[in-house]
Amino acid sequence: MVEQLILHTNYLTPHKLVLLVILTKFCNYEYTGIAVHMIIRYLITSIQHFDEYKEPTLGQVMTKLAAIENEANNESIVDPVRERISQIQNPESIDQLIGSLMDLLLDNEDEESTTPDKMVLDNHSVFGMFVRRCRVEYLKLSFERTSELFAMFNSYRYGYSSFMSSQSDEHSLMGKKSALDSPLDINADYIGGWVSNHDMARFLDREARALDKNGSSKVKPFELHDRLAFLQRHAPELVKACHVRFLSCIRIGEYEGALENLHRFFDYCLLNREIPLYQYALLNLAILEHTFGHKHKALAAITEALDVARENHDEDCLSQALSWLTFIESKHNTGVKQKFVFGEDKAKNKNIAYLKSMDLLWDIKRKLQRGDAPAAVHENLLSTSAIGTMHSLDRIFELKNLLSASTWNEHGNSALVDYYIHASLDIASEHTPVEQIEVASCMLALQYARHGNYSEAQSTLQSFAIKYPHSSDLSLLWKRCLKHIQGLKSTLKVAPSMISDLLITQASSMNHQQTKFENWGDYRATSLRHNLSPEIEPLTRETGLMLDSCMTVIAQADISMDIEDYDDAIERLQECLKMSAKCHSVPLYCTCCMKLADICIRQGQYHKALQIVDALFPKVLGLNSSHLTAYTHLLRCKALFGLCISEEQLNLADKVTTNCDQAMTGFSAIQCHEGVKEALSIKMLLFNKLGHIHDRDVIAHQLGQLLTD
Amino acid sequence: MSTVWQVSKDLQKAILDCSERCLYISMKWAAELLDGIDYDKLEASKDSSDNNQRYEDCRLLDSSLTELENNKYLYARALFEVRQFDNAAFVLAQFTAPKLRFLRLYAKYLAGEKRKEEQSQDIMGPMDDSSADNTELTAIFDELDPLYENRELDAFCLYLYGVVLRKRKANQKATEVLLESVKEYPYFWSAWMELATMVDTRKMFQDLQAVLDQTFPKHIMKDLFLAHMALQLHQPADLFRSLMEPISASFPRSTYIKSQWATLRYDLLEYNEAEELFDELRNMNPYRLDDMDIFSNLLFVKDSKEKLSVLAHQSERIDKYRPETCCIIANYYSVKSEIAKSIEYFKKALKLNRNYHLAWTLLGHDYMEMKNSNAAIECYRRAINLNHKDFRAWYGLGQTYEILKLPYYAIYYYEKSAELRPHDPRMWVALGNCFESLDRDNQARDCYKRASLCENADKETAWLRLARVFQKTGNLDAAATYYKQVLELDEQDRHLNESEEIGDALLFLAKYEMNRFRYREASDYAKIAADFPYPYNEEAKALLEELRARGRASNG
Repeated sequence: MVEQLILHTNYLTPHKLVLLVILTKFCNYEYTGIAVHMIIRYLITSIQHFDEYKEPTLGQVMTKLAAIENEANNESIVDPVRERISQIQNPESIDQLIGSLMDLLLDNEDEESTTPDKMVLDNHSVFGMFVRRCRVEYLKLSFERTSELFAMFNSYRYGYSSFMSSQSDEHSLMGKKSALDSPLDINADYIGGWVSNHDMARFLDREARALDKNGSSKVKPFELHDRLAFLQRHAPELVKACHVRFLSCIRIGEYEGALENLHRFFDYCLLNREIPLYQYALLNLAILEHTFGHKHKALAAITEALDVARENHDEDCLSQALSWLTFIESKHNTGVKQKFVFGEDKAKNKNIAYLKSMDLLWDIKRKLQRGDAPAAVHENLLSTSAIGTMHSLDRIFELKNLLSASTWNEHGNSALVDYYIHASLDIASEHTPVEQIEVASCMLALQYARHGNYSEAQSTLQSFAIKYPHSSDLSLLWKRCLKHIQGLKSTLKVAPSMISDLLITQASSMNHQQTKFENWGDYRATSLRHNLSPEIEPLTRETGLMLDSCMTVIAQADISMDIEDYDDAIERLQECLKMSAKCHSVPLYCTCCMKLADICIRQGQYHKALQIVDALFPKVLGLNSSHLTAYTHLLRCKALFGLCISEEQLNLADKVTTNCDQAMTGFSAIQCHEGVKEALSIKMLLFNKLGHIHDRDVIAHQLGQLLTD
Repeated sequence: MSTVWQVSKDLQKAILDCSERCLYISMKWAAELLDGIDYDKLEASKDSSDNNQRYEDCRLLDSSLTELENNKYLYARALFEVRQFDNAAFVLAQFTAPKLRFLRLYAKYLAGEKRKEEQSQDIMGPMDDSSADNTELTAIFDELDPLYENRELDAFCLYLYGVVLRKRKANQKATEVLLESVKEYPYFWSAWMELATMVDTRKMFQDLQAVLDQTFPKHIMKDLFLAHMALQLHQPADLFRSLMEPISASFPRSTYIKSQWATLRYDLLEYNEAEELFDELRNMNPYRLDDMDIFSNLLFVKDSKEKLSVLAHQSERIDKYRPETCCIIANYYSVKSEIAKSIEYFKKALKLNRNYHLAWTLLGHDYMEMKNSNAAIECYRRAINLNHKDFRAWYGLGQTYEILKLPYYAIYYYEKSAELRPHDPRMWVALGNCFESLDRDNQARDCYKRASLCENADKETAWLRLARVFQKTGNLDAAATYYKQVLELDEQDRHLNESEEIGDALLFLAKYEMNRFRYREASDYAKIAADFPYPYNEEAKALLEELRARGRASNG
């Protein structure tokens, strides 16, 4: 890798000098008509974007000015600027340019402008501040630095190097010049760029904010890595680069790098500080360890952070640390109580109010995991909304809406689930954590799948992957979701919905157990599930996660059904029914009931099965799940057919056919061929029983075709 | 291995070659080594056919150069010697003879370094500019790169090219180029040293060793280099010994080799032996300041104020502007607890050489003494940036955070230092201490066990800590065993340390034996504790009373 000489500057860069040239011309009334507005807009935009990693090349500036020139009816803009720039032939010319800026500023605040041939800038205006800052920074420069500024300007002017890039600027419009004016000059084509500490500090601030707030940034990870490596090498005094690198490493899941940069950052930024920062170093360390799933290390760090925060009387840090402590502990234990009591006086503070609302939201999660009464959950949701509205905490509403969606999913109201997921996605902004958008997208995709709209479900996931390629690459959640949706299409079995599972338990430390649970599905047909079963059960029971326990019991009942141990299956399903009723989970309740109805049918208890299915039907409709609705029709059709056969109630044949048709329609819509096949088989057997041989053969033909396909 | 005679000839040639190219450090190193040669062996291995061959190259004019080139070369060399580097480079502009090209580019490089140093004036002040670059690197690179591709570079230009590549962080290529350089000219010590800067880890060292063993099956320079690296990377002492012992036999009077042995002893915490070697070194040549900073550290650790004062004053007389001198004086003030003065001298040392990582670390220690932990942290960090292998700086950071009552935070740094010095018990004891204060007793126990297994370990400390952990976790038998071992160790030394820890150990053992109805042993321990200061004596007396009462009861 060939690298060139990198010069250092605090604020003034060649681009800023060019802006000063344009600004001077603007103040001398050299632009008229529409050009004035366009120049003002251009200057303001440029001044506000000093946080970009690369500053525009002279070629880009000239192209922009040429565009303005075109729009402003060919008023001469480019040539005068180019001419003025070409007049800067030695360091003294820069000195003169800066000296001339005095004329643009008011000497005295109260003094009115007296020179009609020149526009005088308000000292506190955007332009005024910019000009003053440039002057002050120039006057602070040592003799060597002014020489370097001229060298940078020379290099910039002749397009030898654009900022932090070894590519030459072919469009500088200034023409190439001999690289060496004099043997004593810094060779212009050896300048690889310059680092403006001011601009880079702003760039790092911007990146740190973006990464901190939403875990992502506009800059791609590998690009950011290169930029930070460059800055750490050429501007080691910008310790913020370590902070950004720490956040960036978290983003890409690189533990060692994150840890090293965290320590490096805090080691450096401790110098010359009156207020100690150790507690924040520890808090960040705890968050880092927690992010990488190191529970014990996270707890050790947070405990130390609490001690130091107490010692330093840092209430803000103490609140945050306590809040995090609750959060980290709650990931592993649903019985955790809130550690931080929010007094009335403290709740006035916006930061504390934010922590309080986050605490409430985590509490909702815990309550949902434990299967607490809906009243308590809704009370927390309302409290969160109230705090959020009172303190204008916009950021909490996205998460709150997702939790509302999860809550209503448990209560079996699909319409509200849809509403809240959309509401969360609608208000998501660039500051919303990508993880949260990912959860919302996955929930939405699962909702689509539930409605039988698999293509929309997959495209929702794909759109997320396109927008956040890096996040979807690394995300286990996203992949699980995609697999789940693909699995739904091919299976007839009724499985508990993953929707609430996503938000409530997805981020928990139950990953290990979750993975096992996932494997359960993959190895359904093998003996592995028997081995897994005794491992999972105590795990789920220990944690007190009611929803997880229910799902485990259902899976165990599934195994018993497969090996035709119906007594065991019924026992488990009844236990699960009680649990799902206790935790008010309609999807789980419906799943259990359907499995019980299935067992009744298998055991020839058709009346009982019919009763169960009929009682369940309104709840299933409320869930708005195409799969469940079609499956209910299928169960009903099976039960009725059983009655037809066993009790010779041939008058039920019409009902069987109707239910068969409804099941077939439902399964066809969601492309579940297994379901269609089952419905067709029953219909065929029915026609056979009724002696409708032609109809039977037609159905048999259809079935045969389906099997061949 | 070459004969002593051959080595001597090669070193003589190296001295001349380096001298012609103004490579003074390599020249000095080769001359120093040559000076330490065993003359008996030299005579014995003398090649008769070579009898009259002396290096006639001492001639002033090089026959391979034209008259014009020779004149320009002499002028440029004169300028170089008076440190007018830019001027020297200018005089040689356009000349492409290898020797002239090297001198020109080397002068250019040094001119850039000089300017860089001038930019970074302040140490940890507002004018501290640690990011200054050598502005000549690109020009040198541009000239050397195509020549390298065409394989037109000699060993010296390859070295310079390697230096430039390293400065540009092209480490892989730099290593390759430097290897080519030493392969072409093995007696060029600066190239070896530059190669040493590329090796950061044990794995890299082992890989490089394998490559060198293939390239130079038997070569004194390879062994000297590997021995140097083994010291730098805290490799097991046996490796150093196996490499250095055969060389030492041929160079018994070499100050360089003696200083390496002394550094090894110091590294192994064998302070008395190290001191003896350093003393010998000073007797051999009292004007040699190289490695005297390490000696001053040793004297500081041994609290030898007088000896350190002599060393400091003599060094100051020899050359007060040497970074080593400043470091020695700083250590002298440190040992006298005049920390402000010590800081001043460390800063002086750093002004003279910003890359002097040892000075950064010691400055960090001084700031710790001044309770300026923030400044200490920055110093340690700078030391680490300069030398990632500086275990003292990592350890210093750990200590600083531990003092700030952040034991969990300190663990990271102690782990790093233990990684660098796995055979140093201090690292493990410190790590164990942190774990202990975090109530992570199992990990603390493992660390102390590890510390007690180290060579040259301060077994007493490790055992005392182990016993304490076992006592805390209720494993009283194990605790008693370790406490007894400590007391036995003290008995062997015939000196019982009247520290709090020993006091605690004695009382514990007295109670332990009493609870097991071994009153006589209990009484023995209590009697020893009775001679300890308050509160141990009081408690011991009470125990003795109780033991007497129990004895009466059991007799009655």
